[in-house]
Parts: sequence; structure tokens; C-alpha cells
Amino acid sequence: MDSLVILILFWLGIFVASYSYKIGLGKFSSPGPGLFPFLLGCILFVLSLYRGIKVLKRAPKEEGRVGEPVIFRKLILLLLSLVFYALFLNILGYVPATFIVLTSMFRVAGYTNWLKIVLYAAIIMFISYFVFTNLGVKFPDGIFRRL
Amino acid sequence: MEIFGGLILGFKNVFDPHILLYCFVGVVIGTLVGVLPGIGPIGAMSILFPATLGISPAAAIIMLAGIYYGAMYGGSTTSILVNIPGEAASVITCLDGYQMARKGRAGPALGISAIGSFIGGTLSIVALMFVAVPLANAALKFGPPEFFALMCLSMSLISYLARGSTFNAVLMTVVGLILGTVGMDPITGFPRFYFGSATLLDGIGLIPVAMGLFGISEVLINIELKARSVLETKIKTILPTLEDWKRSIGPILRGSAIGFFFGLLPGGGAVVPTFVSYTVEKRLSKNPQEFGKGAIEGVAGPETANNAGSTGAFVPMLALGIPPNPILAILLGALMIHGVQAGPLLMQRNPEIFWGVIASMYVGNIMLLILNLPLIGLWIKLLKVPYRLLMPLILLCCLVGCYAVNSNPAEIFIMAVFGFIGYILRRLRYEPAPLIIAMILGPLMEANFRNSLIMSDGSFMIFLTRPVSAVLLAISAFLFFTAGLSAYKKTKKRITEEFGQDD
Repeated sequence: MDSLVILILFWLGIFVASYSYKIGLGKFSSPGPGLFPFLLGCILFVLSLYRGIKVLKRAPKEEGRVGEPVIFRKLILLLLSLVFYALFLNILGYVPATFIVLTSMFRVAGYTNWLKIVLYAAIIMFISYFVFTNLGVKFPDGIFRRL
Repeated sequence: MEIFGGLILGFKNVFDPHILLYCFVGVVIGTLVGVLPGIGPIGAMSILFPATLGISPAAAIIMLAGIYYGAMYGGSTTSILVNIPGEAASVITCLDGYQMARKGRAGPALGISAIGSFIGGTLSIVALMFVAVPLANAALKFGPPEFFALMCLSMSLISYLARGSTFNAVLMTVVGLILGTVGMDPITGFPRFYFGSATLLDGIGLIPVAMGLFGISEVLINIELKARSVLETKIKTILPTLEDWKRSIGPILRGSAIGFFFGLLPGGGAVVPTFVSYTVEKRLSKNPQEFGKGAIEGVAGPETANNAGSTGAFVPMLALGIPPNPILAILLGALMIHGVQAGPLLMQRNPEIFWGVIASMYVGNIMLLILNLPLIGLWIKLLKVPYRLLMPLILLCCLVGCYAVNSNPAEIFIMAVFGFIGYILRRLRYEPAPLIIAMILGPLMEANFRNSLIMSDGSFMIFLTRPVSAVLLAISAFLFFTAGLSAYKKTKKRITEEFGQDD
């Protein structure tokens, strides 16, 4: 896991440096938009290379564990609910999108009784709608636009 | 005289009923998130951030600041009663606070931490006034090279003081600086790293990143959290005995000084001084063997230090515009969104904010003392709310909070991505704090770097020929190289082993 992060940072360094080089480094007396990120990309490249060599030299030992399979599944489910919300909030509107996401979150949090889950999700959705709109937050209408 | 005049102006502002209300709301929410594990002050501040958009900048900052120091009070409650720190600055309090509670002395433990916090907080505000004003005046003479050097020094210090590996912290700093370059170039407005996305053209927002790294990732880590058992203990009196007082007064005074000093340093914040205070008290104690078994000094010192530290951290933010920790980075972000420029000019251009924040801290500390001593029973009840009920609520607040800043669902996506990144980083023991501070300071650092080069017609010597910048850069270089020394590594390893490095 650690080596994967180092590898990503290594490629990030190369990418940032080459991208910045393309947009123009300018001269030292009039630095272009690419100069600062170019330097940062180079530093990241060197640091991750140094770290990578050290990791490779080290005898392989126990890998950092990301979690039990059950927890990993919960993690993915939670992240997917967040992404779902980002994608569908404007399309569905606050009420349906929030209700769906809350339902999945209560399930992930460990509730098993569906009646309870739906009830809690509905209550929190309505309360939050009134609290946040009173605070001045404007939510998209989504599918209720035509009503 | 400048200080007293300013303070009077500050109090005039704070005693406006609106501002008082926001200050009160801030400290109540602070205490609440301090009590509830699973959401820290950073998460709470970023969630409430959108609610501050419609109010005056002074009220917004006062409320957000209240959350910060309020959380320091609340954090001790869970440490003492449940043995789970409500937030990172209360980790140490678990050692002796929980032991005191097991011996039936939960009341005095809670009492002394509230009183210590009050004394530490108040003494630090006095020190804050006397340090911030001359510092801001001195910084008025700074040009781009000095500011660039100052930011280099802050970042070196943040990496140097970060828990865990210094090398990892440096990596995170560089990544943060790179993230800060996304969007328009601060000098020419040239678009960079935006990949055709209108959201990225404005730069990666501070709020989605902060919420992701600190709010969402905390929830993801806590999925594994097992049900907590609150110690069933009757709290008869929260007032410490005369003997308790005698033993605590020294740690409280030393904790105030240690807290304030470490709070000033970038990367210091409220967490580091608690470790230092505990170590110092253990060394000075006649009965060091009592530490870890319920010594009141081990509660009084660190609990004072975290409040003093959180106040001290305002000095670099208010006087120089440099946030020493992620919480202050969010405060700086809030100021920026309101169009207020933090830094040495803040005191002159927006005295109502500068002095308003300072005055509000005096008032907020008194509110907290009142909230914490008699209402402790209420906070304990809150501890019994199961996490599985809290978790969806916290996530919903993150979602809405993130969306509300710009009404842009794409920012929720950014938050989710950074939530996952934050989870992986925490798992691998990378500190997310340097990343977020570097991200917010990045554009300023770049602008100062480029302006310095333009000033000197392309010569890097400008950083070394100007005395202030040369000294600051020399200190950063010194820190950078000594971080590799074995003595430093050993001490850091020992501290990590003794106290653990998890949030």
C-alpha cells in the first residue's frame, strides 16, 4: 500500500513537471505560469524517487492492512453514496436524492430493520430541509421542478 | 495604549446582541463536537462554514473561532469518562483523566480541566494581544522575499513538528503546494491544471478538501468503531478539593506558558503542547509513578495547554496571515471568502475583526466555563447517542455544507475523492495537516516568490541578501537538515511510541 502511494506521487511529480514545462516557464526575471509548479513537480519527483528506492531496498514486511472485507465493503458503499449524491442532486432534487443517500447510509451504519431505516431517513431529510433552507441554503428542485 | 483602545473597540463589537449570539452558538457547537467522537473541530467548522456566508465577516470568524476553543473544552469530557478522546488535543487526558474517573473522581477531573482551560485560555489571550500587535507592526515592513521566506519557515516547522515521519510530512506539503497551483495563475491569470473543468478553473476549494480530509475520512475510519461504554459514575461535585488545587496550580500555570508558546509555532497548534506539558509535569513531579494512575497534574497541565495553544495559534494568523494549523487555515479561508485580507494590515484595515475576535475570546471563555461546569450532565447524556445514528447525520451535514458554498455538486465529488485520499493517508500514517496548510498558502507563496524574482531581475540572491529573509531561510534549512539527525528521530520515535500517533 505504501509503495503504491509512492508510485502515484512519483508519476504525479513527472506529470506536474512536464505539464508546467509545456505551459511555459518564462525567464527568472519574468517567471511564467509554469515555473513554480515545475519546481514543485521536480521536488516531488526527487523525493518520491528517493523514498521509492528506500522502500525497494527494504525487505518486504507486513503490508499496511486497509481493513476487513466487511469494513471495506461498507467503505466503498459510503463513497459510492457520496458520488451518487454529487451526480444526482441536481437531477433528482434535494428531497429524493437525500432520502436515497440517507437510507443507504443508515444501512451501512448498521441498522437492519428497513422500517426504521426508511423512517429515520425520512424524518432527518425533512428536518434538514427546513433547517438548511432557513439558513439560506438554496437546493435544486430536480424532478419537482414541473410541479 | 494602542492595545487598550483596540480592546475597547473589540468589546463594543462583541456586546452587540447578534455577535454575542454567534459567539455563543460557536462555543456550544464547539463543546458538542468536542464531546462527540467522530467529528472534530475541523469537520464542524467546515460544515458550518456555509452558514457563515450570509453574516458579517466579524461574526463569522468569531463563531468559527468559538468552535475551535470550545472543542478544546469539550474534548476532555470524553477522554475522562469514556477513555476516547473527543479530539486529538485530548488524547493525553485519557491517561490520567480516565483513571481518576475509575477511582470515582470524575467530578474533580472534569472540574479541573474546565477551570484549567479557562485560566489557560484567558492568560493566552492577554499574551496574544501583547505579541500579535508588535508582530503585525514589524511585518508591515516585509516585502515579497520576506513573506516567501516566512512561508518556507512555516512549512518546515509544520513538517518538523508533524506527528509521524517528517519525510512523509514534507511529501504532503509538496502535494499541497501542487494542489494550490490548480486554477488561475495568481499573477497573470493563466489557467493551469483545470482539464476543461469550470469548477477546477477557480482552484480546488478549501472546504471540499478540508471536509474530505478531516470530515469524511474520519467517518470512514470510524465505521469500525465499536459501541462505547460510558463509565457509570455518580458525579457528586465537580469542584476540586483544596489538595487538588494545590497540586494543579503549578501545572496550570506551566501549561498556559507551554501551550501559548507551541501554539505560536506553525504545526504546533493545540496537540503538541499537551504532550510537552504532560512530559514536563511528569519530570517535575515528586511522585512520577502516580502518572497514568490518576494524577490530577496529568489532567490539569495538558488540558490547560491545549486551550492556551489554540489561542496562541491565532497570533500568526491574525498578525501575519499564516495559519499554523488546518483549523486556522479554514478561518483564513473564511476571511478570504468574505473579501478580508488577513495579515499585518488586518489590524489597521479591519480593526473590528482583529479586536472583535480577541474580545470574543474573553467572553467565549466565560461562556464555556458556565456551559461546562453546571451542564456537564447534559454533555454526558449526549455521549450515549449511538454512533450509527450520528454517522449519517455527520455525512449529511458534510454533503449539504459542501454543496452550499457554491451550489455546485461537483464539489461534493471533490470532497468524496479527498475523503478517500484522507482515509488512505491516515491508514498509512501520513499527516493530512501539512497538505491543507500548504494548499491554502501555495498561491500566496507563489505570488511572493515570483514578485521577488521580478524585483531582483531574476536573481535568487534577493532571498539571501535581505537580512530577515536570509535568517528565516537559514532556520528552515537548519530544521530541514536536523530532521534527519538521529537524536531528533529517536526523540520523535519515543514520543510516538509512548503516546501513539493516531488522531
